[in-house]
Amino acid sequence: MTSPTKYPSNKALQRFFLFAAAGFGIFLLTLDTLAREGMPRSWIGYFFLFGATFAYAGIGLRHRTSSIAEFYVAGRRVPAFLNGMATAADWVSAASFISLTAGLYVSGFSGLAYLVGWTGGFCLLAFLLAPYLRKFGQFSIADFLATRYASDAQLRLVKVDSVRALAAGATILISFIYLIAQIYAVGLITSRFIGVDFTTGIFLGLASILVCSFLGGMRSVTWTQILQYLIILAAFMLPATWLSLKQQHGPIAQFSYGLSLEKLDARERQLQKDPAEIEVRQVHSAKAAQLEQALHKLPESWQQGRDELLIKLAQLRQSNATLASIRSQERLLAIYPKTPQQAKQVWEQQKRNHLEQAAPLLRQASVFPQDRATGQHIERNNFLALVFCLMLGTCALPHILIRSYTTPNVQASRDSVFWTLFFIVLLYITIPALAVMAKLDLITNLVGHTYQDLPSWVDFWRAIDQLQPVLRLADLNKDGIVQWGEIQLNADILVLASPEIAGLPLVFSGLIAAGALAAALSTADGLLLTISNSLSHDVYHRLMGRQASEHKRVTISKLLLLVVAFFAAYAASLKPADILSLVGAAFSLAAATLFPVLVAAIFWRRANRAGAIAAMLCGFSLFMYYMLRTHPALGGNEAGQWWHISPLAAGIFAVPASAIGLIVVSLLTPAPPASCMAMVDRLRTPDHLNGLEKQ
Amino acid sequence: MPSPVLHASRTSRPLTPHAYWKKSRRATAFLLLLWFAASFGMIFFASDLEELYFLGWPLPFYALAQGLLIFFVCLTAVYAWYLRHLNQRAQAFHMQKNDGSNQHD
Repeated sequence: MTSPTKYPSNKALQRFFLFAAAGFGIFLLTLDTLAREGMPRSWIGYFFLFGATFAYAGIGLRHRTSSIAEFYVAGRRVPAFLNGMATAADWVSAASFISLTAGLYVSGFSGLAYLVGWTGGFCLLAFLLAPYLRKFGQFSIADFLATRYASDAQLRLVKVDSVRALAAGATILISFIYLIAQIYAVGLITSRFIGVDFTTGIFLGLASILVCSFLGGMRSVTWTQILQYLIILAAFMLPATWLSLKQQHGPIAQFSYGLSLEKLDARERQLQKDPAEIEVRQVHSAKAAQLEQALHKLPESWQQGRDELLIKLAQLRQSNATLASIRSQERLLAIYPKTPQQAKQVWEQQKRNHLEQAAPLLRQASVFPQDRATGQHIERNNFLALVFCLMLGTCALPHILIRSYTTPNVQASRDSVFWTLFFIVLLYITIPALAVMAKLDLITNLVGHTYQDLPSWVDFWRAIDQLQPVLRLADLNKDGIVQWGEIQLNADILVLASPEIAGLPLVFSGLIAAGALAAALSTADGLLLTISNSLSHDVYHRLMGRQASEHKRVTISKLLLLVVAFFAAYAASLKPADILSLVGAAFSLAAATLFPVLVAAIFWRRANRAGAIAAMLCGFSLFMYYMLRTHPALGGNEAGQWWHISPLAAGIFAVPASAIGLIVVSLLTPAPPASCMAMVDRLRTPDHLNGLEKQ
Repeated sequence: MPSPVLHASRTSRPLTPHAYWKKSRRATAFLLLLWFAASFGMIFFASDLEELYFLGWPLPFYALAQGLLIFFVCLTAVYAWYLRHLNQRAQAFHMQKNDGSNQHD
């Protein structure tokens, strides 16, 4: 059915990697030379963006296909090593690249929950799901569930299949929330680094996603992801190595950053007691209290503040003040909230920021400091619950699960998960090193210096985005010296800015931006394919029962891909803060809806169709209920929390609910038909034993 | 429970399908137990271990930032290796059975 193209031998692969590394090295050296010769900063960004896009488009063109097995599952011929690398790129998203480091920088020890949760999930994937899904060997997750939980009647005639509908619905919902976050990140990176408009950035990124996945589906996406993994790896390793050499710890940052951690810890202990820092913290508390009052007196306080600004501006204009001071006053007016409702939001946010900065400094390595202060275990319990949800959610994410289908055989799917985890961990063990070293650099280069001799990168990052500055420095206690409490950094730019903070050559900044972009694009590719395949295969072909030729099904899939991509890009261009704050919960959603049914499908023969439906519904309902109750974006509040568990970890309640639903309903209804039992037995034995076992 | 991994390298004795599933299920349970104890155990006792230093570095931070991740990689490697071994034994059973039936004919 397909023209079998052979996957390369080891020798050819070695040549490919050598060639890629050499080409990449030459590219970097050329750019570095050009940058030293005075090429403008934005040009470096263009080179990286367009260079990468051309490479992806080239791969897309070379591997274009219209065969269904190639388009959906890359012909099931991707060797374990390469499949592992591609899955790693599929997995390493913009969140891994940017937010993990940011999380470690902002919340210290608690940020480690993501590192542990996101890698531990792959153990579950390897032990419980991947080999069995490969053994089943169809196209989507809904395929698997619908076949395993088929009813007797259903084997004979096609009708609306509720298991498939629920599974496809969950797949599409989870992947779409995740996709919006990736596309949003693309816009953020392009607008921050290249300086194009946010929406333009989104559509530029979209173009490079589409040329690849549109033409070749899973087949070209696999090859692009391998290249993207190499870029991501280089983007993390090179700056980390350079930083480590610069802080004089030898070239292997992952093992020697302990020395930086030690220095950082000593400095942080010092800063906790520093009188100037304490003064700044008091200023923050006072400002928070001021905002609190203003919030109480809304809408009068909003009107009053606006009037004051207008009067001041009029006075300045009358008194023939300098143009600069009038401009800055106008800018203040421009960023002043437009309505009392907006003022409420903005001021609440500012109050939270001030309160955060008024709190004593959080040491990087201190374990659950809040718990120590209060004597309760709220922080630890949240950490445990979050790790639980992230682990189960990771192994139930549809775009990772369908990767089990692309390997040539069952053993290769086990090896593939090992390689995936290996390549992910290679990156992840660098992240704490990078976070610690960047934080130490930030402290040594800024804190304690006077406002006159700030490094030049400060101006660049300060000037970006006047409305929502990513870096704010203000001399709050008027002593002319920068204190830690006076630095307000949007942690998401920490990774992008880290080469400059450390004084590395400009080309590293471009490299990091290219790496972050590759991370976002590779994940977006995988998600887009998952969604459009689910729509075309599960919804159009199976649920609506449309019979179409293979060629036509691939065409429909490609069209749906375009529609979904534009819809997601449109949604992301609205900068939906609400959706973005829900992305973390996508893991809980995946864990609650899909994990119990998937595992029971293999490990509990008695699980039946009614049980599966009950499980998905129970998990989803409890998840939604808890989110509505506790998530601020959905109108909930902290008071609704059970045992102080944050809405991100809603899965800790929803997964058991789903499992109980599955067990109780399965036992109350008749056992599944013999054909389903036989399928379970087939999944559990190696290929060549089929039909040999006498039962 | 004896470690299934220890028995792995000894032979490639034939394995019936039933025994194959039993052994693979037992290995899965064993590895899951290790996985659970290491990750959730480490987090649960993290604050008690805070003052413990390993080569001068705070143990809980290092363990959660890097140690556990490397441990997870090892677990998946052991699983892939052991199941490959079990598959070979199941294959041996299959061959033997085929040989047997051929001779019988």
